[in-house]
Amino acid sequence: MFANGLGTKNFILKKLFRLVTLLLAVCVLGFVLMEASPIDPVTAYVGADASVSGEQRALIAEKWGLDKPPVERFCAWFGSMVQGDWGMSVIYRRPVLEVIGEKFAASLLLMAFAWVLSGVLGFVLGILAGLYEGRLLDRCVRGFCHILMSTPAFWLGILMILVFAVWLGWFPVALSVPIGVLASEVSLWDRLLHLILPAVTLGVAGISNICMHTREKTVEVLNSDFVLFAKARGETRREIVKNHLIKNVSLPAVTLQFLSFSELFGGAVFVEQVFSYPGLGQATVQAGLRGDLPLFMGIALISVVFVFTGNLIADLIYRRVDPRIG
Amino acid sequence: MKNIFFKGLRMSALYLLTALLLLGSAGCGNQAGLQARAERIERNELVAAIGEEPEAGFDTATGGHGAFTRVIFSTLFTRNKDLGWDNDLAVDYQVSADRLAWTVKIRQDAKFTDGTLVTAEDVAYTFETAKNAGTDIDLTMMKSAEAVDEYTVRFNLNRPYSAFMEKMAYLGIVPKHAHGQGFQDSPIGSGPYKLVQWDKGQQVIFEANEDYYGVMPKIKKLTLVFLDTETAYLAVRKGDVDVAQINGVLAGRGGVQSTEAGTADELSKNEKQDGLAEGLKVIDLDSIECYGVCFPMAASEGRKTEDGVIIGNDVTSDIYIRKALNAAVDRQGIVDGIMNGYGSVSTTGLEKMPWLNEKTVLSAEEYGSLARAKEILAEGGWQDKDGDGIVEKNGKNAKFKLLYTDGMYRQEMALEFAETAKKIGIDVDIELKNWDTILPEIHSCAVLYGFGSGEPSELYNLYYGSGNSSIPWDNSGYYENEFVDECIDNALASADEAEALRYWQGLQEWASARGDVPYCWLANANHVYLTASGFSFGEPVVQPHGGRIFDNVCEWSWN
Repeated sequence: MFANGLGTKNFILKKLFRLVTLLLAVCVLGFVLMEASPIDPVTAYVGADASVSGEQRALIAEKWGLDKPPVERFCAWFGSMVQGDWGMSVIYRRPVLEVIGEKFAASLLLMAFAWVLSGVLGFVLGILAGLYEGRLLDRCVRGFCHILMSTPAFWLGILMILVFAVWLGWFPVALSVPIGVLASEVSLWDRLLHLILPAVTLGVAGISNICMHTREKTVEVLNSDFVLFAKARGETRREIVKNHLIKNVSLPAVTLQFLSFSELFGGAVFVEQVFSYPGLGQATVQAGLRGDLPLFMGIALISVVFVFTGNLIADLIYRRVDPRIG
Repeated sequence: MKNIFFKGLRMSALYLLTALLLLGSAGCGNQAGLQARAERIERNELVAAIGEEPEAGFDTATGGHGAFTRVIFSTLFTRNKDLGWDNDLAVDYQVSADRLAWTVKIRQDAKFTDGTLVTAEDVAYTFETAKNAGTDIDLTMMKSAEAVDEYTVRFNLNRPYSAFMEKMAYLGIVPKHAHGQGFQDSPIGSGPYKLVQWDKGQQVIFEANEDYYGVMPKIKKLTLVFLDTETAYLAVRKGDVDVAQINGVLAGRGGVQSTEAGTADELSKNEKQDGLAEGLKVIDLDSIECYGVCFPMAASEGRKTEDGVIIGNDVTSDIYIRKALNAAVDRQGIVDGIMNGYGSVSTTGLEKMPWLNEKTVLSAEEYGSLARAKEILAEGGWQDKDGDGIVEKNGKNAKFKLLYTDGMYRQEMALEFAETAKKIGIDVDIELKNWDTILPEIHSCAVLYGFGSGEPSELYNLYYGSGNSSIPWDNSGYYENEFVDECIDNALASADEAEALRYWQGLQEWASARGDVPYCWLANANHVYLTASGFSFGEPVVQPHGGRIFDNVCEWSWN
């Protein structure tokens, strides 16, 4: 274990080096892409508002430094970014880090809930489906997964609102706080209640992936020689599941779940939109569409770190659980 | 802009949702939500899902946020119900003989919500700050603003500009002494409400300003939530929200038929209840949110803009083509079929505006007639000789492209336009663009626009030809008529809007379907709201693009 510990340290250092190079690449690439996109930030800002003259547009471009050549702008942005000043968001007219901080906190909670939910539920359903391969339960689970896969997240969201908020009245329709209530009177329970529906939507939308993979793996394990051997030894079905199946199946499931950070991020964009949940997803779309370069770059960098962390954790767990990898 | 990304998918989802709602609307009670609404009515409180969140905050001096200004700020002037001018903070104004100085006296009893008086100093500061902020508030015509005495402010212009009144009605006055870091989050104004809390990305809570100098608002606590249209619709049904801005498609479920568009005092006519859950109604407000097709007016002679964009189109530059299309398109069909009746016919783009030249309005007999359109084409020498269904002239087929952008009703209208064109032998290809990708073809293809600022100065943007501005969608068809330009120059150089009026009306003699036909105007899309049945907007003005729904926020009430 100790020898392995040293290896892990080197491994992490190596990974960190890779992260830094990756971030540098994202900085350059992100900037180039934004530069190459046909979206003109000034146009995106004033929209098709006809009352803003060309003269005023030039003034706006000057205020934002858009009249300078791209390389100069990149250097200025990169220089201050490294020193901790990520610039001002054009849309929110606030420092980028402040905007991301606010939004990311809300998104993180949402994603954490959804992530655990999709992991646990997907895993359990996957094992059940695998155990009853070809039977009714299996067919139901598979059908469920296929439907979910082909359902856009925002539509699922609207459906959830319709059923659980409007018809049944169990949950609030949208937002993360009660409508019209002062912050001082909002309880933790209120916040939780507002979190459930979007989190379940996001979670359910992510179930199918892990569920289908787990099912495949379960079938594979059940058909393996060692399970046959265990059966021959007289182990009951329950014992086989407990002793052999779960261990073997959980490894790929856990990996997959950590690798799904990026999809979680993508799904959150849609779910936040429908539930008007004040998270990072919505800000990402806006930043892209409206050419808010500082905010866009900030979000890109943060999400790289986020997804990278997920992958790193998956790698570390692999090494821990399966000593053959190292 | 907000939902552009999702629109295509969304429309189909919307219809599915509508179907589901019809299935499920019977017998599903949600008492808690309705109970909460009843309590709000009791306390004169309102929750509304109207407008998009001003993400940058509530600082009027460093960025416009349209209709919201009226909730917490005062302006110098305001548009009244007849779209003339009323005083807000101002009590009197004078324009100098050379038209370069506007002197405005303001009232002496207006207070900011921190208790200080609104002075000329604050007004001058607001305008100076806005001018230098480099935002979407365009004050390039203003040289400086200065306080003459405590309650008199003078604006010095660098050119005569009669539409300066529009700017004075747009800028909410901020207090100089309290304007600084963090003002956008906790603004101080002198309007009917004060901001109590802003949950970013979600809602703003306002309370009535007890010190307000104007008519006290009837709703004492106003919460504005920022929801998706579909979500807002559901929230009203549940009882969480009392008023939501929706659209004709959502409102049209339940087979509501078109009604005559009424003026504000006939409002009850426009309130529809059939097919809706109990306790809800649809309020349908007239608007000047006008859609129209802009034609390239010049022949294509290899002319290009500075950016190398080709100007002109050989088909649309023929006036008979433009006239024929104007005669052919069935506007009423568009209003009924596409807007579910929540709209009104437009042939001028200026319906209900005081600066409309009534003589240029097409009567119902003058459009929607394929026979008349074909006659016009024949008159112009357009004939289908090769029998392919498309007319031609001098060996050139009547074929052009119509560009449209994402947005409510736009695709449907473009399709309808092309269908109609086909019936009279004109081949129109439609193509979806966004405001950036549209640029390379904007001067050589027809473009479907939505206009309607509700200000006369928009005529400048639509039709001013000489010294074409650097904004591509200002007169993108390169319409050039010296008489029109002269009228616009005279209108802007007038002392004020009253004097400018005859010029604004005069130019329409040419810039209309009766003149050079630079546009084929189609329809105004009404602003549609789903509300709890006891709610009333009072008497709102005709709604421009972006809305003036908050202009009479003090009149909103439960009855």
